[in-house]
Amino acid sequence: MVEAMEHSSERLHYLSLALDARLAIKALRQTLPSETTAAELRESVRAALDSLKAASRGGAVYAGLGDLEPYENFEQIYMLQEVASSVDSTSLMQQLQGLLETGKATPEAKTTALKFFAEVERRALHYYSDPSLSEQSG
Amino acid sequence: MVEIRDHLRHELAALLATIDSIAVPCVSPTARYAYTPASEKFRQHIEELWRKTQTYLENFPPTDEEIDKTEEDYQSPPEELQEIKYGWKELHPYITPVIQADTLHQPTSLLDSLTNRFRQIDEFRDTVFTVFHTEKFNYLHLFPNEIARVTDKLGKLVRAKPFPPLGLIGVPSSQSSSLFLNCLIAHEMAHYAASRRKFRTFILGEAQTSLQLQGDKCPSGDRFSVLSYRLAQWAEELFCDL
Repeated sequence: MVEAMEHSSERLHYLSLALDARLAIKALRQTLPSETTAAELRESVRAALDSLKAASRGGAVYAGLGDLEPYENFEQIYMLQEVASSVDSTSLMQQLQGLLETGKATPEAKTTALKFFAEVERRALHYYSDPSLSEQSG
Repeated sequence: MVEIRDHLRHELAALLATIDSIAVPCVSPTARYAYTPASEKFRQHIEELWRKTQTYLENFPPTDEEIDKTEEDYQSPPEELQEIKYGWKELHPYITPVIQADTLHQPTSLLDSLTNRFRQIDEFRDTVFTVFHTEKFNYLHLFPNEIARVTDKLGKLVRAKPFPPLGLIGVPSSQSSSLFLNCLIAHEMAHYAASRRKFRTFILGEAQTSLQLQGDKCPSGDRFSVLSYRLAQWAEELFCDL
């Protein structure tokens, strides 16, 4: 039972991450460069940035994590590390930091953030559909 | 471009039909059965989510976004449609079982008594528990944080209300009137409290420290992370037994 529960829980964690990324993408698409970004988008960016900073500090995957929803479970932060290692994470963090501090989505920051959240969504959906995590395949 | 639009229309029609068939037990429950207030709350939420999803899909894609109508974008269903489908797929196993667990088919008095006791804890004064029948011969709680978050985010996407604060507990369908076995419901309620209070995140640090105290036997790298996570999971099981 624990095994089955664990797999269901992991799948939900990935789906939650994918949905969060989709909401961030939608909010980014609706934001014009002159507008202040929506509070929910800022929360998504803040959670991603804090988690990226925690992950870039090294150490155990879970170290330094707390209330950083949606990146608070093992598989979520592990996947974030994967995404961070596939891009220039220093530049990514700078762009996200800028977006957060100014509250404005410059074209460059918007493109970087869109690429980041699209990659988070793509990987989260991939892992959600992974048959090895499925409770009952077939 | 016409082919692409047809393809999207086909995907949307299939998704609408799937969601309709999932939600139907909540939309038109049999009138002769009575439900606890918690089950009714769950039913009403699913009904509202279904209506909002229908409206959203009927107007898909949203006009207030920059949607790239390039051929590549529509070769497979857009990610958003996949997420809506997966969200409903995750709700699917619990919808009919909640409706089947009417007041005659669940340990209502025991559940009321345990819930009243549970609500004596300060931050859980308003908590209610919905019981659903499971085909497994075991009791289980449905990850309240996880399912609530997924449902909340699905709700945000289709502009529905957030998931109400309720726990979902599964009881074996054959044991709905068994008093002593149903005392296991208290264990599942403890999982709800543990999940809301982020017990596992807290205990994980303790688990890591315990593993590190093993010296040379302490695993390293990913294995250390996986093992400490597993240890924290078992600590949660023990906590819920107390």
